[in-house]
Formats: sequence, C-alpha cells, structure tokens
Amino acid sequence: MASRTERGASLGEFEQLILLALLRLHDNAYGATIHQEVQKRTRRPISISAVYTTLDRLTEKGLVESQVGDPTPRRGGRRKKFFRLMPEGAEALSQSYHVFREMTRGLERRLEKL
Amino acid sequence: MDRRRDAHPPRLACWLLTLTAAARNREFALGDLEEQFQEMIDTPAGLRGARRWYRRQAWRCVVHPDAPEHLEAQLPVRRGATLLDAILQDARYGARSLINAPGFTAVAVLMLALGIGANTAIFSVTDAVVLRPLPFRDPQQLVAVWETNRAEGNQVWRVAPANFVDWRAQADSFSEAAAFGGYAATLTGTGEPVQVKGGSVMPAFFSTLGVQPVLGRSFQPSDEATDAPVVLLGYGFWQSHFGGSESVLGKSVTLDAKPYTVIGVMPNGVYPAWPVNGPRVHFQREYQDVWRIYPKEYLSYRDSHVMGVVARLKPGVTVEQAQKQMDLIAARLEKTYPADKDEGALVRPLMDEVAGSVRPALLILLGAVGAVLLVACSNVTGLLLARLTARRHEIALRCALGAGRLALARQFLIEGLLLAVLSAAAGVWLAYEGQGMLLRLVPQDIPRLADAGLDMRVLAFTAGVSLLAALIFALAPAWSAGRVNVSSALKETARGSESGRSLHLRDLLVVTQISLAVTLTVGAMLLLQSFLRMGQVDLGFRRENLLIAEVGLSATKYTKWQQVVSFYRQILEKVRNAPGVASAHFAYDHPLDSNWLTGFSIEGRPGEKTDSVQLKIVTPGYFTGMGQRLLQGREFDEQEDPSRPGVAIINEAFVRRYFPDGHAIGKTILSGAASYAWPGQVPQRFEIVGIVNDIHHPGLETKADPFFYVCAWQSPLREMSLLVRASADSAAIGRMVRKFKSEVDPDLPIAKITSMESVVSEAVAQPRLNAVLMSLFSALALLLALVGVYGLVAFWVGARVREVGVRMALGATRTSVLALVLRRGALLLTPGIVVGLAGALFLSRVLRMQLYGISAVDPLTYVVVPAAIVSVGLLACLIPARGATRVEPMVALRNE
Repeated sequence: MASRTERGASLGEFEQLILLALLRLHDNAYGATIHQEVQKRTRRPISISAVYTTLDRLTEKGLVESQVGDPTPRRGGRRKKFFRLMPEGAEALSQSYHVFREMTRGLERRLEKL
Repeated sequence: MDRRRDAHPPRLACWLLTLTAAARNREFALGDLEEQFQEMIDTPAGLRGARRWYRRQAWRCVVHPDAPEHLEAQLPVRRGATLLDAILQDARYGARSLINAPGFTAVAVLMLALGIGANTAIFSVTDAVVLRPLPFRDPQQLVAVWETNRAEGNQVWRVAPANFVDWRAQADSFSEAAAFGGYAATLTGTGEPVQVKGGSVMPAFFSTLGVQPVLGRSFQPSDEATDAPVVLLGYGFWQSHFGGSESVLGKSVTLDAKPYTVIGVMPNGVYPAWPVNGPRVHFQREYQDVWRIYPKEYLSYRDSHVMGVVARLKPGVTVEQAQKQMDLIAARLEKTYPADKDEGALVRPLMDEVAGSVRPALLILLGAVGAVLLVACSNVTGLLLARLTARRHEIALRCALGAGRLALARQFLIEGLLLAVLSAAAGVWLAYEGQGMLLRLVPQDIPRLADAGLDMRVLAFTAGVSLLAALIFALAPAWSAGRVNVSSALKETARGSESGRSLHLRDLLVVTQISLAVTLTVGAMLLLQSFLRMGQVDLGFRRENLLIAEVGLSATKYTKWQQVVSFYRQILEKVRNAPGVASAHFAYDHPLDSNWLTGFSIEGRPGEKTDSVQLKIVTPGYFTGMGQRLLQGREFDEQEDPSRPGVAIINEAFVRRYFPDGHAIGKTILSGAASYAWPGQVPQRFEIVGIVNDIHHPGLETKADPFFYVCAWQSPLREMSLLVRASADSAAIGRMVRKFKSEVDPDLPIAKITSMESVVSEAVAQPRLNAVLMSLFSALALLLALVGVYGLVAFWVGARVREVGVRMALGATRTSVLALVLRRGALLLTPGIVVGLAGALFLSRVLRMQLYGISAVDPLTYVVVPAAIVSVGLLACLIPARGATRVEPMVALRNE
C-alpha cells in the first residue's frame, strides 16, 4: 500500500481532484467547500457521500488529516470537519502532477484542439 | 427573514440521507448540504430551487453512495449507472441461480402462475362486468327507477306506464327520464323474414343516457306525436343486415307488416333493454337490433307493470334525495289511484342493474383467488427460505468478499422479481387458456360479459399483482439473507442447518397457508352443497326432454284471433303426430318464466283493491304435458273458445293468498290483461275451474308467486312458445319444428329454440359458477398448503436424523418416533385450523346471501372439513415420519 502511494501515480482521478481542492481552499477546506469547489471546476454532479468516502480513504492512506470544528446554526446545529493536506499528500499530488506534465509535454496544442 | 429561518430541507430527502450516509460522516455531510441549501435560498433559485437541489443531492447519495476509483470515469456521462449496473449484474446472477435449480424454479413458477393466472382470469371478468363505468355520459348520474309493493314484502316490480307519466311530471330530481320496454317484431322485405329484438322507448331514452347516434339523428319529442313511425337501428344489426351502408337513412323497413322510416344508427353499447320481473334489465347485444317509440295507447295503463325506467339525476342530487322525493310522489299517487295501493318507488344506480346480481359472487371469487395467491406466495417464501439455508455458505462467502447487507437483500429481491416475471408470463398464458372455460361457466345473461378479455387494464392488474407477490415472497428471504452470521455460517458444514428464526417464520407461513385453505374449503363446501341442493329441488314440473321454440306471429297478417288459433292448432297437430314426440303445447311462456304481472280483482269483493299476480296463457292439456299436478277441479278442454264463458286455473299460492278458506273453485276473476290483443272479442271474466301445484324457481328461495292460467283457445296471443317433450334428440326435433312452421306460414321467422335444461342450467349458472370455481380454488389452496406442511415436516425430519438416531439407540420405539413427527405436524395444523375456522365464520356473513337450503354456519361442514384436512395433513406428515422410523441409529450417528 505504502509503496503505491509513494509513487503517487496510483492516486485515482477523483483523489487528485479532492487533493487539488484542499490545496486551493487551504484553511477553509471542509465538506461543503470541497464539494462546491470540485463541482464548480469539473462541472460534474458529485455526491457529498462520494467526497467523504474519498476523504476517508485519503485519511487512511495518511495523505490528509481532519479536525472537527464548532456547530453553527446555519448548518442546523451541526459541526464542520476541516481537512488539511499532509506532507505525504502534497508529495503524492506533486508526483501525479509531474507525471501528468511529463506525459503532456509538447502535446499542449494538440490537446487543446481535441 | 423569518420565513427563511423556517426553511428546512425536504424532510423525506433528509431522512433518506440519514439512512444512507455512513455513520461517521453523517453529521458533517448533512451539515454541509444544509449549509449549501441555506446559501442557495438567497440566490435567484429561491426556496423551491434549493429544495429541488437538496432532493437531487440526496438522490445522488443513494445512487453513488461511495466513490470507488472507477466511478469517476462514468460520472459525467451516465448518471445512476452504478446502481443500474449492479441491478443488471444481480439479474444475471439471479437468472443463473434459477437456471441452476430447475426443480425449485419450476415448482415456484407453477405455484405462482396458478395463483396469478386465476387472479388475472377472475379480474378480467370482474373488471368488465362490475368495475368499469358504463359507457354513457356521466354514468354516475344515471339511475333506474322501479316500483315496490309493500303488500308483497317490498317486492320490486316493473313500472306501470301511467305511473311513469306521473313521476316524470312531478319529480324534479331528474334532469331527464325515459321509460323503455322490450320490443320484438318480424322484419320482412329484406329477404328471409327475421325476428328482431330491441326496445320500445320514450323519445328521451337516448338523450337521458347521453348517447349520440353514429349516423342520422336520435329520437325527438316530436316523433311521439307524428303518425309516421320511425326507428333507430343498432350498430350490429345495421352492419349485419344493411351492410353498414349510409343509404339506410330515410329508408323504409317493415316490422310486423308496418312500415317504419330509419332515422339513425346507434353506436355499439350496453343499453338497458327488456326489463323483466325480478326485476332485471337485459343489457345484451341481442336486444339491440332496433328501437321504436313506445306506443302512446299504452301510456294510460296503471295496472300493467311492464316498463323499465332510466333517469338522470340533476347535478348535485343524490340517489337518497331522489328516493325521498319519489317516496312522496308515490304516496300521492297511492291516495289518488286504487291501482297504486301499497305501491312505492325505488331509485337505485343504473350500475347496480348492470352488475348488481353478480357483483357479490364475483367479488367473493376475487377474494378467493387472492387467498390462493397468498397461499402460493407463502409457499414460495417457504421454498426460498429453505433454499436460503442451503445457500448460507454461499452468502457468507459473498459477505466475506465484501458484499454489503443491502446488496445481498437486493440480490434476493431481484431473484424474486425474476420469478415473478416468469410466473406472470405463465399466469397470463394460463388465464388466456382458462378464459374460455370461465366464460362458459359464468351466467350468460351478465351484461358486458362479451367485453371481458386480457386488455391493458387487466395486464396492468396482473403486473401489479405479480409485483406485489414478488415483494411478499421475496422480502422475508431478502431480510434473512442480510442477517446471515458470516463466521458461524462459514464454519458450518456445507450441508447447512437452519437458524431458529427462519424456522419460526416458515412455521408461521405454513400455518397461514392452512388457515387460508380451511377458510376457502369451508366456503367452497357450503356453496357446493347449496348448488347440489338446488339441483334436487322439485320444480313442480318435469323438465326432462323439454324443448322451447319461440313463435311470434305478425300483427298485420294475423288480424283475427281465429287465424291465430288455427295456426297453433295446425302446428300442434303436426308436431304431436311426429315420431318421438310425447307431448306438445303452446304457452306464454314456459313454466319457469314469470314475466306477465297483471292486475286483477275477484268478483263479489267490492272495495277490495285490485292486486297484481302472474298470468300465463296455455293450450289445453298443458298441465298434464308439463307434469304439473291438478289438485282440484279440471284442466282446460279443447272446446274452450271466446264465445264460451271464460275459465281460469289458479295455483296453490293463489289459493293461499286470496282464498285462505280453500274454496276457490267456482269463484270469478276479473282481468282485462289477456284480452289486450283482441279488445271486446275475448272474455274478461274467468271462472276458476281448477287448482294446480306451484312452480318453484331453481335457485330462488322465495315462495312461489300466485299465478292464474287462462286458456289459449279463449285468449290467444300472437307471441307464444311451443313446448315439445320428445324422446328424439333435440336437434332433430328442432329441425322438424322449423319445417312444420314454414309449411304452415313461410313468412314466419326462424325463432330461437332452447331446451328446458338450458333454461334451468342458466337459472343456476351463478351458484354453479360460485360452487365450481370456489371448489377449484379451495382445492388448489389446500394442495399448496399440504405441500407446505409436507415440505416443512420433511425438512424438520431431515435436520433431525441424528437426534432420531440417538433416540432409537437409547431404545425409542418406532411408534414413539412416528408420534414425535406427527406431533410436529399437528403443531402446524392445529393453529391453522383454528384461525381458518374463524376466517370461515367471518366469510359466512358474506356468503349467506349466496346460499340456498343450507345455513352459512352449517355445523356438519364446520366439523367435516377441518377433520378431513387434519387427516390429510397428518397423512402428508406420515411420509417423512416413516422415513424417520427407518433410520438406522449407527448410520445416523456416523453421518455426523
């Protein structure tokens, strides 16, 4: 398991999307914002359960850590769960990004036209 | 602001999310969605848009509960694909597992198909006859109105024309009302003379029903006044006799030698026609050849009850309100006219006339087939549970490999659905094949029977029933499958043993089956005995080998009574001399017909009200020929004719009611009814010269009506029936009668020839339908229940081979082992019988109206049926029990 994460290439597409959202949201990354961020940028309908399932898995892999916040009335008195990228997560994401960039190098124009 | 604070996400969606979300994230996920929901309310989407969004989110969580890696690739293009894929995979897996167990599949499908097929067939008839609304405008507003007679125990009668005229003038509950009567005539001038049947109706008849002609125009009030008579044709008759040609409009047709102008063609439909005493209205297509305007001259009759009435309630007026008003009007008429003494009016929905008599019978049958299907379902549940036990290992393995509880339950539900689909297809096929038989059993005079068929409504019903069945029989296994204890199941040997819970469930199922079977069997036995008793009833005459041929002489050709009498005499002479004929008579009408209710009074009893009794006109020798007994006095003789003083013969019921002292012979009856065809030419006073026994109507427990008989040679009718008792076969006699008729009068139409047996058979068709089908269904239910008992006991014995072995090794005798198994069977049978008998007692309340000559709580039936079922049930247990006693202790112990 660990060796797969180290190489990073084994990150699933959806996992990558979630990690990228965490990177962008920084301190304000919790279920609702991540859900909105991924939907807005990918323009895909995504279920909140899918977001949590993936975050759970990333937590298990040690790429992400979570922290529970205070309840707010706007959430019907429910608490938030904030997520933060761990160094291992940042590493895995960076690996994925490099692999992707290597693979697409010199293809940018053709990919744009597809 | 306040409104917004009150805005909650849709409750159902919330609940759905709470159910499906993983427990550890439930609070956060719900909070996240609520936060986004509250944000969205402030956007242009508003509260409604936000709620819609929330529902979509909830649904998405159900369809894509988790996001495995391969999910994303499918997300953008195919929403819901995962669930669909899973279902398809389940279906493929289910199909494979059904194919791998062909024995189980065949038995389950057969049981369910019988249940579903029976439901489909009975529903198709019930729907066509009872449930579908009448094909008229706003049919719920249509009512039939009858007269009632308090002196006769509120018997319902047809309506006297003059009373109808008064009702119509005084009642404002109805927007329209029209009376109608039967009409039969001979159509000549279009080739072979044909007998046509239809209605004599008031001009408002079709506008009351709200039916427009397909061609030409309908009747108008002015048609009543004009001297140029007009007719409307029925659609079927127009097609068969005029080739559906539009040029028929304005043509002249000759009915009973009188010309009528065709003004229109009415669509195919279910029109009330031909009211008969009972009273009932015929709705069959055979009474829809032609309609003419009701003859004005009869409208003043107040003591002949001959018409049916349809009326349309004004919008907002209920049947009860109309009834109240009619009560007042009837009371008023009663004060004014002596002929209306004791008479009231009865308003009831027209739908009741169409289906009223068969509705309880069909609804009982529908209930019975429902019970059969329940028995089949619970049997299949039992099979599935047994199979589940055998599959525990497989299920545990799948659990261990990561299948969720929900997924397992879904798998079993889908297998159930597959079974249901197969069974529904087989059931529809069975219904299609069985429908011919069913339609022959059903009373043929039920209106709209011809419309019964496997149409979309019926198929939708079948689909619904099958789905329901699938839910019933697959739910328990699906639930149990989700509760299999993985580790213990995996540790068990592959042979499997049953968990206590599912065994209790199977006990409960078998008990349910037995109780349903007991209830059905008791009901069926009651109906069967009732039907058999009907067959044994002494009708008061001999029905064997009796043929009935209807004759209708043309009024324009036979203008003198002498011609009519001469025609009848010639026919009788020819028929009586033919080989094989024992007797031949003319009568209006055959002994079981009771359709001529007429007013009369007894001479010398001034001030006494005119009463209504049944009138029959018969030729001399009729009573001997029919096998009716002459109790006093004499029969009519061949010398009677209109110039001699009128004579009459009465029945016992007449004597009981009007001559309680028994001295009837020599008294005089006054009645003008028999002379309506020849006013002033035939007698209206009749001296009573004889008394005969009563005729009983099969299937009716009511007492015989008072009858008086008049001699046909004194008061001949143009319409009579020829009654021939012959030893020769009926087809030959039929041919002979037709031949003689055409020898005497070639213009006479070929009339319908029926046998008395078929009249009797038709009279008991409804009890027969009940008896036959209930017996069939209860036998089916019983068989299924016994299979259930056998299966469970056999399973129980199979699981206890070791225990039995130990017992026998410790010295238990075969008898004690046998007793052990039988006790197990009795434990299933006893509660089933008790609950079943309670059900039967409940059913008896519904059944009471359908029974004849037997109590609905007949003690013998309530003892014999359970006793028989217990015996057969224990016999079913004996098979596995014998197997158990043959167990060799050593073998049984070694097996473990």
